[in-house]
Amino acid sequence: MMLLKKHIIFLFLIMGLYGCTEEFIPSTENFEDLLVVETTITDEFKFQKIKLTNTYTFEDTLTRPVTNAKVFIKDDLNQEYLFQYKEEDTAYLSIEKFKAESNKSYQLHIETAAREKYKSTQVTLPPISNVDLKLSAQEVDGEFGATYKVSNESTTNDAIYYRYEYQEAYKVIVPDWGLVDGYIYREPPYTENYFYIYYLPREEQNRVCYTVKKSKEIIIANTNNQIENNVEDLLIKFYSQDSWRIAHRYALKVEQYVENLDAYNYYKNLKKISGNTSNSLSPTQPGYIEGNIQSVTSDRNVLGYFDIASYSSERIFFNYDDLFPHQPKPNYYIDCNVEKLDRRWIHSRNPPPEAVRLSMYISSGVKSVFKVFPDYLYWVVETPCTKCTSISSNEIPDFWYE
Amino acid sequence: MPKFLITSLFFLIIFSKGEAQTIDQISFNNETIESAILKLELKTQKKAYFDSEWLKGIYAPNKSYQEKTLSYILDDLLSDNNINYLVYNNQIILSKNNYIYSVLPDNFYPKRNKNSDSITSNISVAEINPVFYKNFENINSDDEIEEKISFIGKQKEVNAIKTYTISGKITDRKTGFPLSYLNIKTLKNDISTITNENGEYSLKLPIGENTVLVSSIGYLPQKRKIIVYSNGSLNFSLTESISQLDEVIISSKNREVIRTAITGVTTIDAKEIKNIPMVLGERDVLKVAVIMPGVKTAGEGSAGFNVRGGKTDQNLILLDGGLIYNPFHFFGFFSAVNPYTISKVDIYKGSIPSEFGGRLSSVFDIQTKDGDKSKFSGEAGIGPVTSNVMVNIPIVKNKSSLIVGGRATYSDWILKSLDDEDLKDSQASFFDGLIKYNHILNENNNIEATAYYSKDKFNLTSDSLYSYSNRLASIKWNHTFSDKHRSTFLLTNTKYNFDIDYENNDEPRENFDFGFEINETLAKLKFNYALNKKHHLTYGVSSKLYNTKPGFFNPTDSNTLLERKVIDEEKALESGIFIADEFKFNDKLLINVGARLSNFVNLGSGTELVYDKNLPKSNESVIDTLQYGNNEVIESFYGIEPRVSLRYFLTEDFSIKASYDRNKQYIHLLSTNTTQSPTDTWKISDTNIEPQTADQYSIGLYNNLKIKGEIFEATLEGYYKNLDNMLDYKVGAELILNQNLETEVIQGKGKAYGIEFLLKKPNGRLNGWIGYTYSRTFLKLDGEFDEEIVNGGDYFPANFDKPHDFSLVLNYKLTKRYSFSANFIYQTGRPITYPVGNYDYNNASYVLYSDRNEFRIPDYYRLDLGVNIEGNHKIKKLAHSFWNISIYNVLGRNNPYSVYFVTDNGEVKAYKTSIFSIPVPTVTYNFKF
Repeated sequence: MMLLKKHIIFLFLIMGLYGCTEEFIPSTENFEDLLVVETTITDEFKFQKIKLTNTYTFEDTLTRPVTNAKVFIKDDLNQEYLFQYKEEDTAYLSIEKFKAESNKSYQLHIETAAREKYKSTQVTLPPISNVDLKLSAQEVDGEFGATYKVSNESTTNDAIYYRYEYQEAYKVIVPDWGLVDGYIYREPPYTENYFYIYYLPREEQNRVCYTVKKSKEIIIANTNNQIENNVEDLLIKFYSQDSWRIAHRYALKVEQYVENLDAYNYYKNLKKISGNTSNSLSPTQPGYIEGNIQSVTSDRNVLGYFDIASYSSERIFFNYDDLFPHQPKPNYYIDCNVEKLDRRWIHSRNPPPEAVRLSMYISSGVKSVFKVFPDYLYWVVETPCTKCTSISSNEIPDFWYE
Repeated sequence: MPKFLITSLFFLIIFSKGEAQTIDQISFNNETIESAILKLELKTQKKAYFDSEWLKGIYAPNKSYQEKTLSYILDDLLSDNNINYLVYNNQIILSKNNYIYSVLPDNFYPKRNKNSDSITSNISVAEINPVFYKNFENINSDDEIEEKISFIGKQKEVNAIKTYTISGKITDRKTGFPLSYLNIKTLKNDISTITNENGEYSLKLPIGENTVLVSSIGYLPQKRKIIVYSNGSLNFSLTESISQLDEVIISSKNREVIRTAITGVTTIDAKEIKNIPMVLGERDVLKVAVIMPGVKTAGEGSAGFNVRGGKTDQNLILLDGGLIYNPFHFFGFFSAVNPYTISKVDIYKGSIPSEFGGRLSSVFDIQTKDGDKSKFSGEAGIGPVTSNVMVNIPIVKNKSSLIVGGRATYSDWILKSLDDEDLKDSQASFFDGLIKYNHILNENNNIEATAYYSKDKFNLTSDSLYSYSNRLASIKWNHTFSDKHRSTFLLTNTKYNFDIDYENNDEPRENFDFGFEINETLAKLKFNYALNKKHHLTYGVSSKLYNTKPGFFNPTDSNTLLERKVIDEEKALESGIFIADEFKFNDKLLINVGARLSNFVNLGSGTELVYDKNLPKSNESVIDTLQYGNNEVIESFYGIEPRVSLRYFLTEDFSIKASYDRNKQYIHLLSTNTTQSPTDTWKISDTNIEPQTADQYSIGLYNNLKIKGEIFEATLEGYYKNLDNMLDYKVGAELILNQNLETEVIQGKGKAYGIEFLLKKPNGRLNGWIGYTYSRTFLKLDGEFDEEIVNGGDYFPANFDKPHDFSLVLNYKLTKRYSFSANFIYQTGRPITYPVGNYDYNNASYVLYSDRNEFRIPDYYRLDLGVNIEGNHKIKKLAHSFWNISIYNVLGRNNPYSVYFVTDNGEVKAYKTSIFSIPVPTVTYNFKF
């Protein structure tokens, strides 16, 4: 009977609620090498950017940039905006600054080193709408935390299509910072038992770091179903008040792109066929998403969309204590377990196993020494607990202020 | 054992039937024999014993008797019928056919001492030639043909005449039509005759035992033992005897398959599938259907059937004549009709009779049981996930009855009792109920009424509750004008709707209710007319009114941020005139020629957009907007749909058939998923969406083989289908709440072909079938514009294209109580669109997909085993019980159902879903009362 009950439960687990769905590592069959064009030309006056890459296989880990291509945009007044490959950006940047203007239409032209030519349809700049980012402390899905929401007010009566990206930045302060760093020195015959430990003062600042991350999901909104043609309180980001990322100071910059309908549909389709939302019993029919760029010389497909959007952005900072006053600070993202290593054990040439284990962790970088005491005692902790540079960067972002 | 009882009677009754006592006065006036006998009972103070069935419809002569003996009156009363009598002590014993002898012939008990007999008789036993029942007790029953003994005429005390005339009529049991030119002969004496045009015959037969054989090409021969007492009548109805077979998987139509002209028809008899092991113990006729050749599903978790390369929306699924839009519960795991209330399902996948129309691929004609009008009974099943019950209630004895069936699942209760927090808030429940009323008004009229309702509720995410329901009512009036002319009037109404109720507790201003509804009302009048011995006509008209609400979106919060959105309601009338003639050209060739003229009118009010023909259909290419008033014709379509089939007997048991069919479909299921989902909506044809058409050519060979006394039925069928205007969609099409669906729809061609082989052993200890199908289905989407082209405009395999399909169903009956069964299924994996690369875009990775359906998931196979244990058959038992223990997917094969790729947090992740990837044991308990 017990067995039977188990199976009943199992059945309901698999029946569409959770699905007996397992992840697997796919292999690439019949690899198709296509050009990927990634660009959003905006109405900001700047060096505009166009990224050209190739598709890659499941076995590859990184995308390969396409260099040596001739890239330019031409407007309907036949003015050309030339682009040049910049190694440091792994992208093509316009040689001169320019911005997309309304009442003009633009067309992208690409000619690869292999003499394949591509061109886009004529694209115009959508209307302009200013983003209004709001920060608040409130409850979402039963959890209290920090929310970033956007609203805006459109000036036209037509439905407007929006795409959002965000860039978040947060300060990381390690819980077990120290002035020193310990090193393991092994001597011949280089077995795990023959080692010394010594220490040096830390050279770089690794107590306070700043992580900057860009959004990875496609966030889109339209005002089709809205009474007013406005986006109202669209949730962009939520962090529970227990999240370590907001423990000190946090900033979120929302970037709003007003899109043309076709561009919006392109992103919507990409989101739909790559999304997790449909039920696993009847997945959405996937396929090639037709963009607005086509090959002139062959019938090869091209991935990507030549996107022209009007841009607006806003960034809001907050300190944890300001948003959640009198609340205990969130814990660090991992548990920091301080262990002690006695140097005298090491000199015995027959060290206890826990000392050997620690020495291995220290030499592989998993754990680090952060304190040394006169009685030959070394304090050791997980590296991210004492060196923020292991997970973040100690460079202060140029937009950061306190 | 009646035989034994009758024989015993001879031992007991050894007295003369005459009695000297006279009755002073008695008269009968317009009375039945029964009342006359009762009167005599009163007068004579004797108790009469008889079965009123025998006396039904027999009237006493209008006479009065004075001072006559009881025997005199009885002789007179019973002279013109088959009833004999015996007056014994204070009893009047009546018997049908048999003469009750008060003495036994000398040789009856050879060892008996004559001197000890206390027999008084005035007739010498030696002079007569009595026919005793005992003579027939040792009849060999090696034949599967019914061995029921018929008594003809009335046995007389003295039988001087040696031959009598037996006459009767031979009819087809199913249609009731008389069968002409049939051969009837006796086995021993070689006396034979044939039936006339009206199926009547007469034979001169010697007194006593005779075996009469009725045979004809196309009918199973019927042999009957008869005992001739005097002149009498004996009628045959030829298919009836075939259904008496025991423990048959799929039976009653087996002979029909060879005989009829229709190709591609399968019948599944509900009571005969109980031995097939099924997942979760559901005795489900629709699930059995998918293990028959030619019927497929995309996988275990998909609703809907693909019949001979058709899409899931191309099946006309009828329950007592009414259409069910979604005949499944729970994503297709269960069929939505209570299995206990189903009598049988006829599946037409080849030639579809002209009376049906509106779907391209098949008709599933599900018929519920006719209630037993004389006794209360019921059946129930308790399984691990659902329970079923069916109760049969006679209302007016022999006139009307009611069947009530219901089924529900306890899944909600199971989910609530789980510890898992997420699952606790989940819901998944369904139920269905059916009521059928059957009333015989008189000999020529009967009425059947069915009401049905099913509902499903489930949530995929915690804030949305999905539900859908089917509601159906049908009423059918069968009327017989004469032996040759009959009619059926059918009126049905069906509603299907689904609903998504979204409730976000944090932001109630975003709450909404989204739904879809379709309602159809059908009236159909059908006539059957036997014009003459060669032509049988079926003709009639039908008309169906559709009302759909293609989508509504209602914000449910008073401070809502959302806009109410309602897609215009649609209305249409689909009508058809149909005629078919079953033309018996000669004994060998049967031609079924028919046609359906269909008409579809999309009615206002409504708005239709006109698009620039030189541009792809989109909001930007609209050049005109046309407004239509209420009931104004928006668009009208006609279809001439010929349905022709013929059968030719190569030998008595071997026929060849060919058919051509055309079907039109005016209503389409919209789905952007690879398999059918319960939230798919239906769309009727309009100015921008053309009706779908299918032309099917099929040919088949049908043979009943007899090997070592066992019957095997072999069927080989091939078909080729051309499909036109099949609906498909642009990648990422938005079908929900889209007023202008045509901008997302692509219509294209399709072709399907296949060979289906089925070998069945319907009876015996080991029975079952082997089926194999090779079939292909291709679609071609080659529109004028880039976005309407898929795979470069070439033919590509459809989502359900599974070339090889093998099934084996076996049943072994160990004893009367124990039987074992096994299923084995093998299918080619279905086609999928699989990545041919990755790419990075906007800070995340995505996959690049291959051409549509270029790859396949691994092949599917599965073995199921089951044991059936019947309760004992004690007559006194209150309920007859039946245990079914089965294991689904014994091999634990992890059959992938779908493979899909998701970009999660910027990274590509690959998932595969399989259903029932481990052996699933089930115990169900069924009982009848």
